[in-house]
Amino acid sequence: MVRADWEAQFVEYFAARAQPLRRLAYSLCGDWHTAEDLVQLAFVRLYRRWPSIRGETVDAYARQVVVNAFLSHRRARRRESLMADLPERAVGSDPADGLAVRRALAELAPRQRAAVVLRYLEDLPVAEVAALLGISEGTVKSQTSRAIQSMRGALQGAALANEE
Amino acid sequence: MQEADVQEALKAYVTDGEPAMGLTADGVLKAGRRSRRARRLAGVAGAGLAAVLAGVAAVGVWGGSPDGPEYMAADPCPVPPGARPAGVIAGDQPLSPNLVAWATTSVTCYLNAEVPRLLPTATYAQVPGAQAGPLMGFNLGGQPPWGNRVDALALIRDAKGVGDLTVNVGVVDESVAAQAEAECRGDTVAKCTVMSGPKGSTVLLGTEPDGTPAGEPKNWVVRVYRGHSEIYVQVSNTDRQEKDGAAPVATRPEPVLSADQAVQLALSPELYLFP
Repeated sequence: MVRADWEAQFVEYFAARAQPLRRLAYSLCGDWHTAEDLVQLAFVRLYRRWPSIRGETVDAYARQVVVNAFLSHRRARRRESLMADLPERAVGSDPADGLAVRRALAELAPRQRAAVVLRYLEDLPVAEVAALLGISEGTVKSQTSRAIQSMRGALQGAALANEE
Repeated sequence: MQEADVQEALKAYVTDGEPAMGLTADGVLKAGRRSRRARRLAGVAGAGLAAVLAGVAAVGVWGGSPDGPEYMAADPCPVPPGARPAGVIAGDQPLSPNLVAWATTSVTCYLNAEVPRLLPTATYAQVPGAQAGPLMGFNLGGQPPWGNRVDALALIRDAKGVGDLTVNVGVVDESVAAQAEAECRGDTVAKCTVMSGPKGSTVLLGTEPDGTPAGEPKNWVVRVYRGHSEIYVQVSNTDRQEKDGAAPVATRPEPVLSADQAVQLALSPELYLFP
């Protein structure tokens, strides 16, 4: 396939998937600028491999680059801080519910957060989440179950606070 | 609150107040092209095979950035290649598209797992002119020999410097092994050693002549013949770049893998793609 042809395919894929991937990245890192950096990284890597990637695996590959880049970025940070995960509120900032979700996600360990987001935002089956994170299906189920308990508490707490 | 509520909350979280996309297709294309450093040299891996056996290093030319290539960690393999699809495997016929796709994925997945295991602190960059990124399998298409093999190349950097790795797995007739062995035994330029491999495979190891001074460019070239597979692994201690119009110079003391490691890599069952 000549380069013009596969670049056209690549651009079509970008148009379809850049926004959903950015949402995935945002749900992991909580910051839109960082999310765009993660997505750009994913697309640059996709570009390099495009001629040899099979159509049915490109989504899985793109997600994996985003998730791995997020997890590597987290490991490189010298100090985990809950407040550091919460960027300054932008103009037209999050409604209270959004802040509650952000806090609930920030309280999860990075890999647990990734499991929850892949399972419930990306709606991936347990087996695919397990393959993507390199863990067993049992671990996906237990991690997401614990995470849901934790998030439920945080979100219900926020809902109660809003009612007062 | 049920799981569905959490799902709904997450979806609202990523869409409420979502800013406009800053990335554009154009911007990503430019970044991708810069990353590939796309000045294509046709048949670079094939030229490397004959050239290295003759004791001359294959050379490349930087495309793009004056800072040189961009080194990164190896990339994961998201989906394993699965079972080999049906298709003709013959030295005089190109591989089918399904076999090419399976073979390139197989090589990519295996190298991105195994090479980092051998070199835990290394990073990887695309070889200038190569059709794909580091350790990524690709097929040049067309008729044999290009059409029925998969190549993967990488520049590899660690604390000792930069070297390069070329792997290719191709389809050959079973008679080629005996011919290659005879050529190896008769090689008077490089040093070529014939070894017996597992399950009747033929292993040929090419190294520099005895007495090659330290600090000189060096290559180890391994060829394994098994079934219809020719598995070729070449490692050097150069970055494949011409220096002042002359052949590449050593950019590390020894090739990036030892001769034993190169042999073991070539003998990997995961690279035995064409029985």
